[in-house]
Amino acid sequence: MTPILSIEGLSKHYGPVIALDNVTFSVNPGEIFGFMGHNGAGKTTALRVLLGLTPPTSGRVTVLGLDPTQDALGVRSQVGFLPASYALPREMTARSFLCYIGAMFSMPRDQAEARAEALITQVGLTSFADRRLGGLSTGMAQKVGFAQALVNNPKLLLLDEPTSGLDPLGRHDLLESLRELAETQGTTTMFSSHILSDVQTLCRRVAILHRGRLVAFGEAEALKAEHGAKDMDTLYLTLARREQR
Amino acid sequence: MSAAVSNVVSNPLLSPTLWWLELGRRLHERKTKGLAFLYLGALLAAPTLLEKPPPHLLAAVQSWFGGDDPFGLFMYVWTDLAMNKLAVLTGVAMGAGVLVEERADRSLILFMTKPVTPAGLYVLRVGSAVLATAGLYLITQLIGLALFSAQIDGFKPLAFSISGLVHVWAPIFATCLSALCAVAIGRQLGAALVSVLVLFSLVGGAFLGVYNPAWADVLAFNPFTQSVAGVTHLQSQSFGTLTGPVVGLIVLNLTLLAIGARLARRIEP
Repeated sequence: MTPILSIEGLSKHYGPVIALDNVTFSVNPGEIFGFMGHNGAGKTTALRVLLGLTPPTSGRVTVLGLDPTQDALGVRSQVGFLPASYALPREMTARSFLCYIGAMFSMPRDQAEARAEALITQVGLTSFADRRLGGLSTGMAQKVGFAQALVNNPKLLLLDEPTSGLDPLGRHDLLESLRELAETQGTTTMFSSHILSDVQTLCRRVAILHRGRLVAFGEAEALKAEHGAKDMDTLYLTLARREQR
Repeated sequence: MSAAVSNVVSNPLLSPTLWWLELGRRLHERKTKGLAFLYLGALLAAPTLLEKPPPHLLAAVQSWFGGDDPFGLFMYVWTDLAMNKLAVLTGVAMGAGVLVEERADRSLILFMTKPVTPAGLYVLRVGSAVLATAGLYLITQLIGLALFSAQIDGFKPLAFSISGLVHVWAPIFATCLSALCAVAIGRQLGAALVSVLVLFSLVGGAFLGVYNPAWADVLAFNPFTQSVAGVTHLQSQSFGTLTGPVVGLIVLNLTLLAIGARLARRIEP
């Protein structure tokens, strides 16, 4: 199977700081892939490289068969991205914002409006669609953030800590949405998180980063068995402690 | 292995929908609404300022602009005391936050991860700022045309209109310069301070060539001098005499836009 996303020997340095150190892994089409690691492990940097927002120091990255350093716009036109840390434009409404994002994908006005309406219904924003984004709760704002990542009906979703800050119900709804997208539309999701139970719930395969280095990659169950861990928390702690020695 | 084919959607900057929504976004901003109130204030204040002009100011204006036409005094008050200052404020408010304000409030990443380059996003933001700026200015001129025709003795609608069509390039220049400062400096406050310093220096020198004709040639490079050409040519005003300054200002603004777009490529969300 040709991976939808592959990273080979990826390193990224910011001056003397090594954010990523020779990282290699790949994601298969249609899977929900867990990208784990504590804050500062390098997950966000890797996602930025995948989107062509920052060039790698060395290594090779391919997303949907494209090199983001050469064709960032080609990658972004087919990928949906939800950042870990972001703010919605306060003075827009959810409807106008989603319509605006549709226009950024060159949708004509009627198509952008129809797509916005469909997403408002899909993520459960109907009652809040015409409120200013500045006044939305964290959970509602995250729904808008998730919806904007789906505007272009992406083949690949890159989600950076999507459940962070959500209450249990919001987390459950978002994870269910991801599962549904994978099942009904075959959408591939790369899901970065430090909430390991979320990864365990959704992902069959995972990559684990620790201080910029890949410490594990493969089937979650096989990794747990290999390291004698009963769950993802234990697996992560085992690997992180081994690295610290 | 077959080469992957890029699936880039057509350039969204060519989409009227995106420009329309961007302009709508810009017009809904609080600062745009605040500026609209300032322009309204200028419309109301100008006739009041003219009620009792000091004799020494009247004499000075007559000697600078020639003749004893009270319309010359009105145009000086309107263009220099009101609209020149508003041009600076508008430019800084609209331009000094381009991209950097969104980067600071963390909304930029949502737009920069879409199929638009940083330079393209810069052109979109500056373009909407320029359209909003020009819109505010020209609507004010239109209201002024109706209002001042009834309020100002000897008001000349054609001269007022032609002068406005040149001077509208002053706030547009201020917007383009402030936006350029924003991406060059990378911080909104720094860009605003530098823009205010540069723009008020230029505004301060806008009429120096009129006060002292010996400096006129040197100061002709000041964009604000060109933008007040409608006032300094009141006696011989026509569309023909003002074409040069307008063309010069358009070229200058396009140059600033191009430099800013180039610098915007460095901006990371």
